[in-house]
Amino acid sequence: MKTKYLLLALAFTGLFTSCEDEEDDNSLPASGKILISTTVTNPSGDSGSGYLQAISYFGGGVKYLNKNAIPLGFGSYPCVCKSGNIYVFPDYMGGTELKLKRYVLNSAQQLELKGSMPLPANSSAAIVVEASPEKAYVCCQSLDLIIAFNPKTMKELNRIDVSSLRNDGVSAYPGAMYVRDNILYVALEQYNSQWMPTENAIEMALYDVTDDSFIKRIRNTSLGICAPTRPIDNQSIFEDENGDIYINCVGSFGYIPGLNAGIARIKKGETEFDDSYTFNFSTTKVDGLPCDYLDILAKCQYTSNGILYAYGYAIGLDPNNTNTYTARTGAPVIVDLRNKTVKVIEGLPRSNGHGIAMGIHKGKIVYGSANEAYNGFCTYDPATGEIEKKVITVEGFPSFFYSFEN
Amino acid sequence: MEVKRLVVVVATPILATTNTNAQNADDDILTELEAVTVVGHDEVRQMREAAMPISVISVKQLEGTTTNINDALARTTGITVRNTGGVGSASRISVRGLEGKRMGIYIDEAAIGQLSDYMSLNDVPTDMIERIEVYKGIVPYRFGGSALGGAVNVVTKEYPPVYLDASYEIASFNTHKLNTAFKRNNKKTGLQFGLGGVLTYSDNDYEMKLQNLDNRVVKRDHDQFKKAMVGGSLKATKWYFDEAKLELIYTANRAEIQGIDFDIREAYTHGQAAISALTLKKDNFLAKGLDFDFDACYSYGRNGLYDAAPFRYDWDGNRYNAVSAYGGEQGNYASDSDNRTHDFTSKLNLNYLLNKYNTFNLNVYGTHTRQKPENELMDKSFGYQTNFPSHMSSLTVGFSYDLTLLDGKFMSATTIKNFTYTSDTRVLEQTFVNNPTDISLSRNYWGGSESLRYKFSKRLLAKASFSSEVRIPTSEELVGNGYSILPATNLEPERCNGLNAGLLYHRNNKFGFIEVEANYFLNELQNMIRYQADMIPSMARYANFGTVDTKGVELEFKGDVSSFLYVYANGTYQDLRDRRKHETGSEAENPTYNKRMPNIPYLLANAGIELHKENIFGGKEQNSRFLVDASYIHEYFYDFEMSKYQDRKIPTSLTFDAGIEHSFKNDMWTLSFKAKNLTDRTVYSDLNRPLPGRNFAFKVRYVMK
Repeated sequence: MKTKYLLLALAFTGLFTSCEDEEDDNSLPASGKILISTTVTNPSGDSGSGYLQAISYFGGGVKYLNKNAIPLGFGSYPCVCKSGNIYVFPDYMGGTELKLKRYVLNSAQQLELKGSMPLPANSSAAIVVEASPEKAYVCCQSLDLIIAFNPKTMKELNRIDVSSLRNDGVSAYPGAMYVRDNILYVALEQYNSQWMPTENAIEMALYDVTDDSFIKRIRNTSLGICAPTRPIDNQSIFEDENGDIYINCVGSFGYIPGLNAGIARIKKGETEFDDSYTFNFSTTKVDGLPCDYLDILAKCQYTSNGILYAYGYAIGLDPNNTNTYTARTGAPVIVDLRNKTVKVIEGLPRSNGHGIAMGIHKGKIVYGSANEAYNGFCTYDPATGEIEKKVITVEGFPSFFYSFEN
Repeated sequence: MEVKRLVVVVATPILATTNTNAQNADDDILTELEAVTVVGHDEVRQMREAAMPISVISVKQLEGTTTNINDALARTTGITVRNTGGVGSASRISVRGLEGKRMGIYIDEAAIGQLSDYMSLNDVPTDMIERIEVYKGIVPYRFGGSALGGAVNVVTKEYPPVYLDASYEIASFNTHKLNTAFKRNNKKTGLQFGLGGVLTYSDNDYEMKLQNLDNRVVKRDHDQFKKAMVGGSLKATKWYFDEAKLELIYTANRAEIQGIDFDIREAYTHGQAAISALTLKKDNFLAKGLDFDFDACYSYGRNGLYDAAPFRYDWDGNRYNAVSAYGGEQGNYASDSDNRTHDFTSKLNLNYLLNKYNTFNLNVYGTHTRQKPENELMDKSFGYQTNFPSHMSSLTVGFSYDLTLLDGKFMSATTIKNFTYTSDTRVLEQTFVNNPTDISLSRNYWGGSESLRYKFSKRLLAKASFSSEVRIPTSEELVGNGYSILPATNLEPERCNGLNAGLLYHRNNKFGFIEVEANYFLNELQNMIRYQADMIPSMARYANFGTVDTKGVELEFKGDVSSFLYVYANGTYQDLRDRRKHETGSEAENPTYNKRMPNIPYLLANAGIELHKENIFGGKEQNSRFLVDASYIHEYFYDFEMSKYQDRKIPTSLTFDAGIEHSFKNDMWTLSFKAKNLTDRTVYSDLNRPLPGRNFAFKVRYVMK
């Protein structure tokens, strides 16, 4: 460890010793402008709990415990909107309190619950998108339902039933959403019973934010990719500085040959997929990846100039481990949306399916990492190309990161 | 053996079968038992004094406020019974925090584990039970098999040559239970015939508070349970063997599935089974001092889940399409399964008493299970076959040596066991990809145990045991059940290294007896197998958790404190901790290392009184009893306790039950009235399953003997 990090670590030893001593002091909630959450799973990785906390210091290899964290449902990530609202969801598979909760960072930089709204059972709610201070949408994926609500009052405004948009033999399964030009874009996964697409097609439903009326369904079969957005990742649909919408399509997660992942685009001013933009991961050789091709981008973070930082997942990186949740098949990558290239960030460790937090903090790209040595966070500096490993460590798999100091 | 146990369930009295301590079922003994309809303290005490830690639930406790065996077990030190609902609901018995399939469940020393889809301990009417033995830490070698952590053995009553027992119970939530049993014994030919049946029906329509829905209170509306069993037996005591018995049973059940977060309206499970069992026993078999005991049981069962409703409903009445185009209220797929199972179990026990100091025992226990799942609707939902035929075999061979010294003051039981199992099946490694893989397993392990007992005096004894034993995964754990439990073919067997030590003080007094017992236990369970929800809704699977340590203490007091008053009180503290230092496949620290295992109670207590008096209202041959029982379970966490904001807890429960019973004509007629959860406390089981509030039951029983 470099000397400065050692000193920082020593400096913070006292802080954390102090925290340990005050373990029973409930008057000391976590505070800071950085949000992290971890997932603590059973050994098989397919069940567990999440924990969200605000922290103030990101560096020095210090270790954050979950004792001051807010418990979360398993299987989804918090959604942070531009307004500063932080939404957390019930367990994706059910079994926890069926409420959508809205938090903010208050003046003391502590997570403060501002309100909650009941959700139907079996919602598998995972995405919130805000259209205005008085209107937002939450996607209830297992119910083919979108609920419009007022974030201020956390009262339900309207329900949009998307079940009529189901294709034969599948569920419409609304995924991540985005609002542009007063239009709500809703990804339609069209999943079967196994949460898998059945054809190489991408579809989205468009609604008028003013009155939630249905505008149209858009569909593309020429790009050779399917399953638009990763349904639990609100960053899997984003807008660049040109006003173009990009959609990270996850295909069949690499399991069904021919049902491919890639990136689609809806250009500024358009409401149809851009047929001219083709970015198919099954045909894009990745620079620095031993198995050559990625299966999906599990998490992504757009910066600027067409550069997308991501966690690229490939089953081929850990082919002998059949446990989808614990196999270390995730590699930090840089995706050039304009040149349609992908390259691995050398030196950063591979992570499992839970440790895929991503974000930006003070100009650096932050990667959560559940690797063979530790659970924590690493950074990549786009300006210098410098990497830093084990910036902080955490209890459980680092599944979410957001900094208000980006 | 399983089947026998089944028969016992249906026709116990009829069968007048094999009791552990009454192996010579000759007429003299039957006559003797006829005169003593309840087991005496001495016999109970004899059981307790065995080298292995054991709790005995006697008739006195069974006939209290309990309505079934689970109630009785739940009041025993170190035992928790986790029901998931009302009558007919699934329940799991846990001894010292180790639960589920690692517990051996026996009726008259015959395992019922393989038949758990079709019957449970609660199917045995409490009226027909002589006592329940609860073994903690070590399973008696004569039971055979690979259970570890403990065992529950229900010992059924011996009945006189001509016997009729019929009872009817009506209870809250439109619950009705009818039990009948008839037995006829021909002394001249040595033949005994038995016939019996059980009918159970309940709407289970109690109100429940939904914690996940703002504590909304709703009435359960889809939890109807129906069950019927009928059985018969033929036993011969003069056909070379001291006992040769054939039993046949048929059982069928249908259970609606009650939604908790969702309002399930159509889904249900169903099961049928035909069971046959053969028992052969002979003392001094081939050589003097060699006792022969053989059981064989075959069962054919069909079971399944029907879940094909096109719509789902929430508790506001909102309707949603099923996820699958083929329907299904519970999850992503539709189901209409018709699974066939063939189970064969056999046990051979040879016990050789060399002299009063030395005894040798050989136990060979084998099982074979074949499953043929069939679920076309589920296959349609998935687009390909999802369940495949499988078979599994196991063989456990145990050799034991008992040593008795110092005029019986010191006893030692030493056992070594060899465990072998094989399984063959085809599974989908990932249920979302049609890529079935053939899996064949063959494993072999060794284990052993040592039990010691020393009597300091007539009143005080100490006992201790050490063990390192293996539990073979069951077929359900390895290959699933065809609809709700996914295969887990990579499961490793569990190994339990345990230490148990205890002191027992027993003193007879002029009213009966006083007894005080204290036990300490320390276990290390490696490769703990846990039942856990899968990412696929409504699906679950078994998985190895890793190493879990358990330590704890049990204290119990009970006895007759006056001529009319019996009291008992007990408490258990059991501390189960995760001992995995690192994350799986990583040097990263395990965040739950040394934390208490979630969803398992750790502080329990029970207490009760019984007032009894004969002819309290005048007359003669009458007996009256009044009972109150209290049960306490301290709150425990749903998840690992990591955060101070964690609020997912199963709340503390303190419940009171009361009962009054009056019998006429030397117990020919008995009327009983029982009230459970008197204070109408809101009670949840593990995983926050709501349990019934205050409820009542009235029962009338007729016995002709």
